Amino acid sequence: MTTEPVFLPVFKDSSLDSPIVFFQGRVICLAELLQTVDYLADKIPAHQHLLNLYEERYYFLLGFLLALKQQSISLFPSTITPHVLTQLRKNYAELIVLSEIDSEHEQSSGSNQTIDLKELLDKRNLSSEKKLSEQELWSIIPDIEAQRNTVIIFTSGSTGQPKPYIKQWYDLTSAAEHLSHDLFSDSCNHIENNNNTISALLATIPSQHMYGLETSIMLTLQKGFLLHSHKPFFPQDITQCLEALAQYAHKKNKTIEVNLITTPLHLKACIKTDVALPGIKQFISATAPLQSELAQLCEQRYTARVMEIFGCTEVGSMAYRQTIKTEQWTVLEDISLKALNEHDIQINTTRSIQTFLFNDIIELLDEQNFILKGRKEDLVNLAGKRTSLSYLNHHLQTCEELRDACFYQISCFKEVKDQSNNFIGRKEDQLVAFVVLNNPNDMIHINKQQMTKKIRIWLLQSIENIFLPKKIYFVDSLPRNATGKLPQAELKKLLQQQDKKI
Amino acid sequence: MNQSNTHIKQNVQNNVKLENQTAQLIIDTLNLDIEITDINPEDHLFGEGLALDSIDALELAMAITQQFGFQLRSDDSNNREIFRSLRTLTQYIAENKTK
Repeated sequence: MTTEPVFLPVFKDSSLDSPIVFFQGRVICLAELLQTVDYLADKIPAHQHLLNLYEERYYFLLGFLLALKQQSISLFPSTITPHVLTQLRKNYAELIVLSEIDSEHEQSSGSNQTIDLKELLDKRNLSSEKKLSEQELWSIIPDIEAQRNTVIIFTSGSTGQPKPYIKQWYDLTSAAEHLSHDLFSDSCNHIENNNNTISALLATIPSQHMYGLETSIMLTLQKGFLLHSHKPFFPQDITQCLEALAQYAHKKNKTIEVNLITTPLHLKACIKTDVALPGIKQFISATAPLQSELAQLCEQRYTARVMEIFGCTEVGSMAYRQTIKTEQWTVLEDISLKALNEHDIQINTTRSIQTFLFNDIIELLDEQNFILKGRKEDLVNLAGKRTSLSYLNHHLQTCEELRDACFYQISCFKEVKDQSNNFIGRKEDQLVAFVVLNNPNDMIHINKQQMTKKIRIWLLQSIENIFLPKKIYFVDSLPRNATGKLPQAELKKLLQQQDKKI
Repeated sequence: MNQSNTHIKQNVQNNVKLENQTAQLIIDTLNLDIEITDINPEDHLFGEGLALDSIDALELAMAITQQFGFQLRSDDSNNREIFRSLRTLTQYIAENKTK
């Protein structure tokens, strides 16, 4: 059976004068953005794969659109370390890196090309450019075949090798469509909805993360939001971005409604430092479960709804809930759930992955609803970045100073205290490591601090800062069982023994 | 280590005091299992030194706002420098604190 290919637009609900991105105090509309993509397309050599490292979303967006135009595939690794870069260059032909040239990641750039879009734009001579007609502008990025591979996004895998997941164009548009339907239905800048309100997006998460890509980038392209170019980090940075948007709206005699796309950690930081968030309409939180007490505080303090998204790199956004109203998650319309047996819940979807097993332990209520109970043992999730203990162990064990070693994850979920803002402990888990030196006799001689440094430097070759062990315990041996496995209970005991010693 | 420094000039003494205060804040905020004297003021806080990460930076920012009464901002792109070491962080706090 053959079916006619389906083509889907990149800009679904925008007109050429629609505001797309708020960059350096001004709004860039669709016509200007397209004209800029057209200019850049001439300067970027043909390639198959594009590694887009920009944090500033304006440049990221240009890179992403360039890849769509030139039919190359955007690569989004879960971490950028020298090791990862080398692997990507080996495995993906004709790779071009888009990045600020002084980026530390490019020190070992070798033969591959790194292009700084900022530099190219600085050289641009606008007055000599031909003004494109409406028809020419619309044809710069033609509709894309639904089944075309547009993005490869990586999880850290469990064997030491990152695992690639291909995203077809339909995967990205479908998630955006359903997110918009369920979470933003009353707040898009549709052409027909030409009222006095500007709906904007501001995100504290990277565009290269699946959650960031689907929300900040895809919602902007498909649903006509105005995207703030920055990725604010401190609470005060968020305030400044919001103030800038509010000023712009004021000048235009319009009101602004901003959706802040963020994480539980940033929400906590806003509440704790009590910053003002002018123009905020809705918070979207993902990457880790949000405590309902925190959601409640945010809703009250900022009179804005707090919605949570549940998803994973492999499938993308899958479900949502309003945290203060329910602990139940409801899946997006292109997802349904099915229990295979007592432990395994299968996700079925119209996206290209079709089926996927839950990484987390969940209680299935029906095909559309579930409750999250916890995570499976091997999974590590810190600041929205996932990896597995097997992946981390693989890299630790290759350190030549060590005979044996393993990571151990300490759960730090603290009791929520219902007092004046002082209600929440450190929510993230912590990683520590147990190591056995090549020669146990060395234990007496070595400087543990120096050895700890040495091990961390080794790990930084291949794993990200955030997964470094907070503490390294030097032990005589690991409690391996007869099959060589390391039972969690034994590691827990070992940790207690070690902590007693100190 | 903490013996009297009375013969040292006042401002140096203040810096040492603030540096110790900052070190204690780092240890308390991040539940680190170390003493003030374990932190070399010039060592990198991130990466191989104390292995702090971006979550820690945000946790620290909250604690600094509460204890020293000012909001951290990254618009001068100076983040990396501010959080480089205990010494640079202390310097930044000294310049900005309001309480």
